[in-house]
Amino acid sequence: MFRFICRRLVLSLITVWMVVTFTFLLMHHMPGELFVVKKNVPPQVLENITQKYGLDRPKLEQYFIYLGNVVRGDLGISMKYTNKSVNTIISKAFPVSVDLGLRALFIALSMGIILGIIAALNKNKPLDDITLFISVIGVAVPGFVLGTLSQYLLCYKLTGFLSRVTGSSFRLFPVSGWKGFSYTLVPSAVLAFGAMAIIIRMMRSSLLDVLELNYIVNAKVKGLSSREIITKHGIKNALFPIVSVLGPLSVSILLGSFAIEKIFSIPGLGHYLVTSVQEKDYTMVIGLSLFTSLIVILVNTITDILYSIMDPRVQLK
Amino acid sequence: MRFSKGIILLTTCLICFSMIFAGCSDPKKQEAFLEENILNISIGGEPEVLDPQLAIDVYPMRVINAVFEGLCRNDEKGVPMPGVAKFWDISEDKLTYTFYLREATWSDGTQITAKDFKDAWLRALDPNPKDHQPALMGYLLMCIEGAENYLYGEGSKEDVGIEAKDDKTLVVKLTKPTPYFLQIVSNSVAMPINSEFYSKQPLVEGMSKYGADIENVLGNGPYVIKEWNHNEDIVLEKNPNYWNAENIKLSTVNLRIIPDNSSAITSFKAGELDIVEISEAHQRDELKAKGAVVESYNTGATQYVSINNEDKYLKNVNLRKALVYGIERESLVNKVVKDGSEEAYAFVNPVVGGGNNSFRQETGDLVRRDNTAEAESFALKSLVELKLSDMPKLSLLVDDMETSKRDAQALQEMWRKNVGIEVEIETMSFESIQERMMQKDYQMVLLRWSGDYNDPTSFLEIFETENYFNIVGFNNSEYDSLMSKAREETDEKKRMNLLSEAEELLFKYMPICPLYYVHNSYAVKPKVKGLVRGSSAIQDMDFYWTYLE
Repeated sequence: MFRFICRRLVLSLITVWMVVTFTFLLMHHMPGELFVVKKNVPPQVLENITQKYGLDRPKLEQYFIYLGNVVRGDLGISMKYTNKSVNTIISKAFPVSVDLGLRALFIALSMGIILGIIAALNKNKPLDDITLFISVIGVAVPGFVLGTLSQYLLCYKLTGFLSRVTGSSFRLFPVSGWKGFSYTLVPSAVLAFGAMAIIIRMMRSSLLDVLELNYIVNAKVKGLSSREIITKHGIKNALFPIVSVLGPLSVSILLGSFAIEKIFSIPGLGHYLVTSVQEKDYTMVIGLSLFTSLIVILVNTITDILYSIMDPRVQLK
Repeated sequence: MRFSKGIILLTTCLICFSMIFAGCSDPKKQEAFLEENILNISIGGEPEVLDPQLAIDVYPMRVINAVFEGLCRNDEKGVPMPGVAKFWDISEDKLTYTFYLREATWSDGTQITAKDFKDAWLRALDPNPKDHQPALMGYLLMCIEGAENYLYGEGSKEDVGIEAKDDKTLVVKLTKPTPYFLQIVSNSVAMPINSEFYSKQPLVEGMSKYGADIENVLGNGPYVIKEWNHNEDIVLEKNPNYWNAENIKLSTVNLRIIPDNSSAITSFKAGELDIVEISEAHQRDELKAKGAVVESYNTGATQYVSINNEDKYLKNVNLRKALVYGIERESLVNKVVKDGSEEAYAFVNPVVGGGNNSFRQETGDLVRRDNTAEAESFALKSLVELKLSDMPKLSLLVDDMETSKRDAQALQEMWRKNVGIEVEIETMSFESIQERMMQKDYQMVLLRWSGDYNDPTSFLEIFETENYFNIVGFNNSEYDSLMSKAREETDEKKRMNLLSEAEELLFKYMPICPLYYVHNSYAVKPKVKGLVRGSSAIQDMDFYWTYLE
């Protein structure tokens, strides 16, 4: 285990270095001017700004200065929010994304597993068809469509209807914002939907596979009740494939929430991931690439460790 | 049997869930929405920084206009009225302005002095500031004596003609009579700074945190910031220390940051917002039907196609005229844009004043209406002059905004139909467009221009030969001399005549193709009265006179 973690650490350092280098190269070769000005600003003023940020120096020099700062854990200052460091922006926005992501992950996992089990146990019966229907929607309909739709139906229509019926100012699901528990429900459910759909299908097929294995037959022969067979022997073994996709799935939930964050006005990191590229906020783009690659490495490492704990046959080398 | 059991279980689960959730929302906050004198607005985007000297976008300006105040501020019609300055004297030669400050304080109770303005203005001009980005908008103050040299790093701070005679008197010397100087004084860049507060701000990577967060802002305007949750909302509260506090009626303004306009509109319909911008035409009717008041206002910008006059084909004036007359502006505005925008038959926007009336009324339209028939004859003339047998294929650069692409497609169609010319649309980021147009490596580009102050020069100066933004490559000595004569002229009427003449001359050559004067639509709850949407960036949203009924 210790050797495994050490190896991962070294590999991740190399990955991060490559990410930083490539993004740096790409950003500095993007076409277009450094500063967008739709006004009659004298070129001298723009030059002053370029100098202030050291962007007039040779590219190689800029690269080494940046790399030196990254080693010290300093991602520089954002070029759009000119007096905020990239570190503070990430540290403020990422917890919100994590909060949303964890809620979504919880919903996706719990609902996905439950519905998957229901589907497997009712193979080819109406309940199976219902879960199939749900998961097809989850896979086929993109998050932003689902987000807009549920915002309209749940937050506007249903909530408006309820407050009219009860005659109070009480609002079940607010349309936009991030102010309390009631604000989190619809966005996290929408964000969870796609992942949940995948989990349902995986859980269903893996449970069906497991239930046909010899040791389950053996358990039946031993005379265990079907409930005991499923909860004690079936589900546990059927969960392995889900654990293996959990890594990529949680990364995509944590970092892929841009559309949902935008629709529901949630102050998370997704906004910066997209707009910083559009706005050519160099330091922000490189800093965020570095940060996301770190997250991916971390999540994958955790998944590997989790897997080895669950299944002693898998050894970390 | 099993099937129905499952369904029952699922529905029970869902009901339980929703009941738990329902119990958790905060009833106090919900009540607050309904309380009186609270205005809920969406501002569309997080202000990058609430530093009046550094702000350039409309999002920070909306907040800055409420939280800070300059020597003057724009009144309901956009005309400068006394702000921190109680009154002012203008010398005979119109070169010296003396401002007499009133007994006004910062929101922490300390007196505002003339030095606060001097410090702020010098800060905006500083070419090499130690702890902040050089101010982009500082160039507005270049009309002050010695300011240009200082901004360009050639002169010194001491030679700039701003003098704080005593605590309450500020004397400013200008290089030329600048009739729109009071407009500049009401702008964000000319708002004061409390130097003592500024010097106490912590540094982050060598940059002062001034304006980055709630504890880094000290204002003097009608409102103070009570809460600033980044990318979420900004809560403004009435400033009890404001000199005119008795006339400020709102107790709280809740500025929600909702980047997605359609969710802002859903929020508006659900009653979470009192004012919302309208970005798509069909939303106007829908919101009207819901009982909202839908209004539109002139943003002060002109949408136009900039034509590269140095291009091998487009240097021909008849070809340019063909392009200009090939546009059916009425149907462009009524069938394509559909947001209340007004068709443009000249360049200077109608909000710009020009003596007694607006400059537009004084000068009149400069492109004849609906002359698409003429477009073809101009096109034929140009073919002869250019010695071509077929119409050349032209390209139009367009930024990646939806509205720009929409306009470009309509233009392409009209030019094909009315002029018989093929135009290829090239969509790219504005940065790339900027690079290409600055190098004059383009044929046509769809642009939007708005002046930084309410004067025809802010529109007309971009066609002077030496101007940095003269991307059309217009080079006319007669025009240049008219403009410089207008700059020296102290008689307002004569000055306006010169500027009228200049614009008329400009349109003899048709260096650009004007399209429409940009209006924005917004919906507002009927209970909201006295909201001002001005035509300058600083007054885009002004709740100075706003109250709820």
